[in-house]
Amino acid sequence: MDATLLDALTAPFAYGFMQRAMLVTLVASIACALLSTWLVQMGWSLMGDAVSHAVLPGVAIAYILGLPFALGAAAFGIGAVALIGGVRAATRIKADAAIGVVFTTLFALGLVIVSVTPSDTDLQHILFGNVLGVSDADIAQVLIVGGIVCVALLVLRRDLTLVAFDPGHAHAIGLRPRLLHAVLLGALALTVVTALQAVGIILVVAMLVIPGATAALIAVRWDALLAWSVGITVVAALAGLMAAFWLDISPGGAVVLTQGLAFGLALLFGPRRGLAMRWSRARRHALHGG
Amino acid sequence: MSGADALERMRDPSAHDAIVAEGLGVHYGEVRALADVTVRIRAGEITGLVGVNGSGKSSMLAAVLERVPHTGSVRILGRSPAQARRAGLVASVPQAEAVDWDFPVTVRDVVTTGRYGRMGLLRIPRPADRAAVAEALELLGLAHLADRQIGELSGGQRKRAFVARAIAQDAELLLLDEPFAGVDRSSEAAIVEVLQGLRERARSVVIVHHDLSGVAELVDRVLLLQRGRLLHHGPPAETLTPERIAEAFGAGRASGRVDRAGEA
Repeated sequence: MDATLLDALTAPFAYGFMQRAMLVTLVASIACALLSTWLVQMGWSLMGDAVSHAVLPGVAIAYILGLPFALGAAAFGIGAVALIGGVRAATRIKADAAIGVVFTTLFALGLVIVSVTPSDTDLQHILFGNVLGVSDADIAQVLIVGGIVCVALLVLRRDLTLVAFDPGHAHAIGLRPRLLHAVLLGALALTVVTALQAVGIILVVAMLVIPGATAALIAVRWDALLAWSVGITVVAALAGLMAAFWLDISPGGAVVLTQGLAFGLALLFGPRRGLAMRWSRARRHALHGG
Repeated sequence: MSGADALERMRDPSAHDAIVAEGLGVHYGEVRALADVTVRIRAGEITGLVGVNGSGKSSMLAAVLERVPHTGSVRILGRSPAQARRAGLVASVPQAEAVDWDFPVTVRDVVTTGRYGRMGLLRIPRPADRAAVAEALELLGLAHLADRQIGELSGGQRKRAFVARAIAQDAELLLLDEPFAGVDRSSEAAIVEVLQGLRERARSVVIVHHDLSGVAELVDRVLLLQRGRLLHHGPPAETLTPERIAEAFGAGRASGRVDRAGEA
């Protein structure tokens, strides 16, 4: 390999802040990537959007009280899920409307709380991420919470997949679909906590949707889906942070933009539903037909 | 004490029945989907649950499995539904509309989920599980399609895959929701053969069916449902009389059905 290219790739990691940014981004990305496979296949992407926004008041309150962000975020993330379920049950309005009402209201509450706190510099960090300036406590939080989520999802992956595919069969053989749904939603609340450190609240939903949606264009088996989702996300994290370092652009933005690029490539060239594949198949059919 | 228990169990006739339902009812909000159905479905037989769409067939299956809140009581093979499910006694074959055919699973993956109840927490198949899956795929003629994504199969092959899952599970009671809808003749014949084979091995089968074609030849008993009520239960020749068919399926006009329901 060209020595200058190698230098370009390794030089950023001479800096402690880049090492820490990389660690946080990788752990958060992997947790998001695993979770996103189920969210996308179950049609729960909007839930990811909702929970990621709904944690803002929790984070703000935790900040004011000097508690770990994870605590406040988890409380409000789980609270938002319960509230959405409650609103639906009480009013019978449709799911997307219930989600829309609850998460925007909680997000607004967060903005109001932040606006009355003395310093608002951290609001920028919560909304857009501050991965180049994470503290030791933040790193510890991301590693612990992200680690728990990853292990739980991997251990339960076959049951979660069965519940996503055929909840009726899962129920009939004695599994508990509701409990597994609750596990997924709990994992969602916790994952949001890790991801907002990396890319901020606004872009968390991208990390929760794009990897799983991209992998679905490629893989036909669940384990391959997980591998593609994680693989894409790791490459995007590395490439995004590298671009952020050399081009002096927003790291969260660069990571998500790279994921979006990966989705575009899969859309064009993915073996399962890629446009190129469909086009050549259609052409073959046309040739055989004619 | 234990002697008395054993005696009680011997006296409990529900142990010889696949399903015993007493006063079974299902409501969705204001809508009554199933009302006060009391019936014994015998073990070792094939029973057809027959009626028009909305007559309560699928609701009855859901209530038996306790997938929906219900009134009344259900026993499955002499146990509570929860016990029967945890023991892996019940297999369910969903109707095609309930399945996401785009889902990233292969045919073998689907059939393997039939064995999950016998596997550990990580659901790693043991050799016995792999053998049972291979055998079930072979039985339903799907061995050569095992590594295809489930949606790549034809309607009949898809249905055979779900029957193969129930076979791999080795359940005592199979509940099939519209197993012949959208299915080609050869697949239908293959499924019928498998179900008859199960009956020979004293397994119980309940089939939900929305029309009458082929029912009389296949099933031992028919449960005729109309507007959530049990119209009749008995052997096909006795149950499927022209009068009852007219009542359950209407004379072809919705108004006629409404009038009849008003009388009932």
